[in-house]
Amino acid sequence: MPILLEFIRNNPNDVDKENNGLQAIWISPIRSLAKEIKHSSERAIDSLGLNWKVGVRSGDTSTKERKKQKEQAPEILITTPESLHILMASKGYKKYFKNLKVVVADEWHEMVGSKRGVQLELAYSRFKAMIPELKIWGISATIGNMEEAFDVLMGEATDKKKQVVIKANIQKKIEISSLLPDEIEYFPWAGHLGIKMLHKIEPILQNSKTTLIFTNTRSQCEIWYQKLLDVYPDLAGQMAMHHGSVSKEIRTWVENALHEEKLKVVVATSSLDLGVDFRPVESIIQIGSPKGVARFLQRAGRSGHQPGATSRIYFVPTHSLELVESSALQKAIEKGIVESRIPYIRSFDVLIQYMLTLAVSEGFDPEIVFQEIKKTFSYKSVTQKEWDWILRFLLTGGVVLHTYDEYKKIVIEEGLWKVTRRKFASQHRLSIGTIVGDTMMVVKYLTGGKIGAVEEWFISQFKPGDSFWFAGRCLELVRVKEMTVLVRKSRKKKGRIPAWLGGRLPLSTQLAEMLRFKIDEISRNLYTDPESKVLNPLMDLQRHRSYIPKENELLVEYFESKEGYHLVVYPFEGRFVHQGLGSLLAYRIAKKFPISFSIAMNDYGFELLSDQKIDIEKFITRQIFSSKNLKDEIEQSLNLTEMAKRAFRDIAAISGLVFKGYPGKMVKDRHLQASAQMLFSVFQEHEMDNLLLQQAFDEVRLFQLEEHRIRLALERIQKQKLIIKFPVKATPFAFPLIVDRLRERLTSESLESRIKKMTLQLLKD
Amino acid sequence: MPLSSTCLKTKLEGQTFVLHPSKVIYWEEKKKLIIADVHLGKVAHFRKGGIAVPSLGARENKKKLKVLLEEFDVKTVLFLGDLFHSRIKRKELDLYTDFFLSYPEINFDLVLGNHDLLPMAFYKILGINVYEEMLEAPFHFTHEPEDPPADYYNLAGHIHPAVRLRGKAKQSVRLACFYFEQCKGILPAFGTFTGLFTMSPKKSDSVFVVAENKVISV
Repeated sequence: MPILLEFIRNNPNDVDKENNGLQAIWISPIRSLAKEIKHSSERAIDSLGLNWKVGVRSGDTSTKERKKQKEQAPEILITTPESLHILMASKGYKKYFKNLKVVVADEWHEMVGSKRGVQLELAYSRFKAMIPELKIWGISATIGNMEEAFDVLMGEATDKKKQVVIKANIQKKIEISSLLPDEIEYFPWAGHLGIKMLHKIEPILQNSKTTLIFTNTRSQCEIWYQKLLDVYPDLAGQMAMHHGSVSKEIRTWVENALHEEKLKVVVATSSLDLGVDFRPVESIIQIGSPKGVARFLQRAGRSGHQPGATSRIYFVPTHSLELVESSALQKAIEKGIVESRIPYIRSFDVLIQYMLTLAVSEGFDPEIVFQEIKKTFSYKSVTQKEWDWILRFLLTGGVVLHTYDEYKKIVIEEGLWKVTRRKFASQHRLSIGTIVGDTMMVVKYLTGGKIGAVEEWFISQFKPGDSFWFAGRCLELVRVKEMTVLVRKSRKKKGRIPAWLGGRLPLSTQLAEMLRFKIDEISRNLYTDPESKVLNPLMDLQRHRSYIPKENELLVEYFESKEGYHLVVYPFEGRFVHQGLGSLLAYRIAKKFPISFSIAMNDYGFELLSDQKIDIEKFITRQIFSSKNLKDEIEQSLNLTEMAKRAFRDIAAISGLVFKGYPGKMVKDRHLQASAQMLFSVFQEHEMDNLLLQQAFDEVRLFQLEEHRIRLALERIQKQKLIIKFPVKATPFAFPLIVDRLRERLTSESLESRIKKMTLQLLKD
Repeated sequence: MPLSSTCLKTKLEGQTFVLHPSKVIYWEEKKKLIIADVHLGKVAHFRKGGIAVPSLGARENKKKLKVLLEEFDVKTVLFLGDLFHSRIKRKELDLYTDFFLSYPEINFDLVLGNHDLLPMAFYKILGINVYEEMLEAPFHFTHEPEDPPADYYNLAGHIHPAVRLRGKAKQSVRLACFYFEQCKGILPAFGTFTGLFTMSPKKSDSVFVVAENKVISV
């Protein structure tokens, strides 16, 4: 609206003028929002009697439409960060953007903690240089580091006086309740599916027009959908599924059907977290802990969209201790605590991609671009030396790769840095973007008709004739043809459910803190909410077998079982931090004598399992939790190189070191992985100062290890009282850990002596 | 000859085999070095798939072979197939000629495998004798494991065998291995950038794992 009004103010005499050139860009992280924004801006334009066009440009836009947009720019363009960069990769982009007055970043909280945010920073740095009076808007939900998010969007050197933050003064009412198991004694101590609670959600489904059920993983989504159908066959035809691997056509259908009140239930993953609002949705059900306050609020907000209506969300625990997480969540919401989104800085891969973008369109002058990027939040600390490295890398391939023509991407023509080889240019345009997913194989019926996409490795475990559940149907694999999986409907009732990688999110710092607060309450026998009241018998058992720690205490349990000796520690800091702490502790013990550990972790604590007895009183002291030498020891204990090598795959793809292939002719994932790993090894051996290599290590330290959180946790532990208990049996706290099969390993024994203690896995008769 | 302590000597069909941690067998009686699945040029193959990576593998494989030829008194080197990973160009062949031609006193034999697609002339240039299969009593050499003729024992590669070992406290490792059945034996793959296939051993099979620099019977 302000955009339109300003136009009227500046053009008072001919407001109904056509073809004014591109005036405003609206950037939205998700494509599905575009349609809604287009409609509302068109309504506003009409009501003011303007003659503006609104265009949408995303990965889904047809070639014809794109051509039309290029010839005559719409006044308002709704687009994504990727598509914006694609526009900047075509000749004449400066002319195209020259009338631009305003850029708007919608759902900025979603972009600020990702490389897409960095992409936007870079595009803005160019626009700001081209159009000094450009106005920048950002729209964001509340996040913990609002001010930082603001600085990221604006960049440096803008006049602080001209910046304003407008806060919407709307307190949305949210009603949260947990579904409690009837008898906590029979409720599982570990698990992640929550199917046992299925019967509990029936009244909710009945009492609301439409219910969204959020699951944390795609496989959980498939399972819940299937089980609901089994138990309530009447839901057939009124229930749908929505997750990231389901084809776009099906997802769009589900979204439309939701609008039109045709659906009673939709089972979804985070794929429905964002996007247009579905008015008919009255209730939300969250299966399992969302692990973060912001995510939970976002999901809750998907219901009750009529003005003044209340958002209603039900929490379904999948195991007992999750009930504590539920009360921690409610406490956090009550206190108004929300997570921060850490912005990416110094992402050299994105910078290199951007420079190639400029080089394929009109070419760039390094001096000018350097001045521009220095004003962004992400790249303000880039030094002249680093900049020179990047330039050399683009021109020659750098120290290692200079012998290969494939890496000499840029040539200098009359002072301008350009990509002149057509092959490079077309490959680059196809590679623009910062989301490097696994290569997906399209799942299609024999008769045609796309159902969705699955990861290459999932399909590789099946033979023709096998059946699996996908998108809510049981499918039989007929054959695999290149990157397409051909299937038919299976008559079988049983089939495997795709397990997608990832999905285990760590508890956020903020939620972890609330969790410790709640455990502390319980330790003092304060049961302040229905969730902890239900947990009472279980907590009594924990107290009986071991102990419940107060906020100033750290609980350590040590016990023996058939499997070996279990050392379990409970810092309640979230899974990533526990991974680091667990490995660190294992490393420090293993330094004293040869021993092998298998390490499991969850959001509450970690377990070190070994076949040898440890003298706990001797080794588990305050000293072993010291933060001295943390950086070196954590890197040695966790095999940082291996983690960085994996992170390097994305960096290699974003920076154009490896090419994912042409549409319909994608390079196989394992080949991509193999070549990225080879490049990594070569850089490591011959070019340690390679900035992309350094970036891989930095990203792992910041986003995977969360080294700063580990340090804070150790410092906190230093102030805590150590409580060591020797329970006879596994405790309720320990149980989910000792049954976890996903484990890390650390050893200081020689391979030979370990092998001597092992036996060959023989063929089962 | 001083034999490195990391090897393991074993008898098979009355013949003496030295199992070396470089994943090769030295047949003492015949002074023959038996090697499976070298996959030379695998890196170059990735390059053709649209992914450009610098070639490193070739140099490393040559270095490993050179060390072995110095360690043992070798008359013949027998490759059990998949010596080269893909069609290499005439130009790239030069990377290998100097190596093979620098051992005029050694015989290089190759039993062809599914990846060995080079024109016969190339092997001639390298001085490698090529066979479909080979009989040298009491052994029958092929690339893929086969049932041998009567009174012979089959030795092959192709599979890239490995086994899983498990211990108390959820310990487990997967290691490449030499794998001997009643009348068939499989060698581990020599090349570096190759995958592993986990076998399900029967009680009667003999398995020798390669644990870093040591061959161990399990």
